[in-house]
Amino acid sequence: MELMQLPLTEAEQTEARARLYGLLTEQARKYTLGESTSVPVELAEELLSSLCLTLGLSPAEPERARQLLALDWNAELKRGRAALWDCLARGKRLWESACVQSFAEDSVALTDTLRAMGRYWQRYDLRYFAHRVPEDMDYPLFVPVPEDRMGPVYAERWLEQLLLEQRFLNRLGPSRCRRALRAAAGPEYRWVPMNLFAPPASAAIGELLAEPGDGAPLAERLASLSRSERRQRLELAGEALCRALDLTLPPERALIRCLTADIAPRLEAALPTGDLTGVFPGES
Amino acid sequence: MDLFGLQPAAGDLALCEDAMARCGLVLTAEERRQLWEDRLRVLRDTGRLELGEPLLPRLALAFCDSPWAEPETWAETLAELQELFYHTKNRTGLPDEELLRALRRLFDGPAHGSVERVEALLEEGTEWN
Repeated sequence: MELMQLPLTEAEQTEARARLYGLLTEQARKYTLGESTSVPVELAEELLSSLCLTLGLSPAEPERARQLLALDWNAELKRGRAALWDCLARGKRLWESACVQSFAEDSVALTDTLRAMGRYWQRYDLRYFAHRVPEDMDYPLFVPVPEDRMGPVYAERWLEQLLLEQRFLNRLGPSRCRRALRAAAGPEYRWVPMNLFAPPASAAIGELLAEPGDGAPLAERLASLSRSERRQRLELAGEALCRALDLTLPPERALIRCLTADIAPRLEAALPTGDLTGVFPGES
Repeated sequence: MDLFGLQPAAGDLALCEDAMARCGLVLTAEERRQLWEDRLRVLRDTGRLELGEPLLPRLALAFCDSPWAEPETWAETLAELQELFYHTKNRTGLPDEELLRALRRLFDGPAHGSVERVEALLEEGTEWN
């Protein structure tokens, strides 16, 4: 955490540094059971990151630093720990849902990631390493969680995103999804560490673009349009998919907008070849 | 954040002044300044951060009544011991007090007051206890 990035005066910076040093010293004393007054820098950095997360001290929330200076930091630490504990409990509930609802059997990476998360809840250390995120998160979300999210905040956000992506898969149905996944990565797709949402959702958008069909191949029909018309068609197909699946909440629509934005340049690159199977899996 | 900037640049040697004086050991102002400066360098070199009570006064207290402590070389001895302490701390992870006692035992005993010899003995794997 860089204090210099926070909008504090020089005097405020000095005070914030002194208070952080005091808390860090106390944490190090407890961690070493009072047996050492010096610690490796890597450990000090971790203890400091943990403190900053617990206090809500982050360049993303610049006003919090000034607000904190008027407060009792030990009380804020206690309050922050309670908030992180709640976040951890929410994350654990989301994880339990994900284990039941997800398409984990369709991805070894997802199975491993959910298993790793199970270990995370057990090993999470709120006192000294509150900022740590689950290890071995091999499964790639379509929309990754921002890297500045830490600790259970990251885990909770990651699971929310996973469940959001999985809602689309559940509405599309397993057989449709698996067809698209096989088309995208072959029959052994389970072993490929790829996102499960994008291929089926892209295939569904491809199907909507192909309707109503006049017999001409989709690539040929799209090639006859201008770039902006194609972009517009994609976005409309995305909206139509949300309506068809009855997934029209803002985060659901935002996810599909991310998908169409991802498809657009790949579509432009594939059109001259006439082969759209890499863009809309299963499209012939 | 530069964590090294968080720790105080210098501490206070007043606590061990009387004990050192009783043993006929005195540090000049320049020697004290140099020792605190050395401390920061060694901490950086060993990748350690000092949080709380600094080592230097405790180190001086732990060694000032050694029969091998000489007024002429006291500052130099402290500087060498300080460096050896942090390096050995990294290697062994021993608690501060235990490490101080072990270094003192070697310094007084088989090393005959030579910090260099203490270091060599540690590298040879000599028993601490």
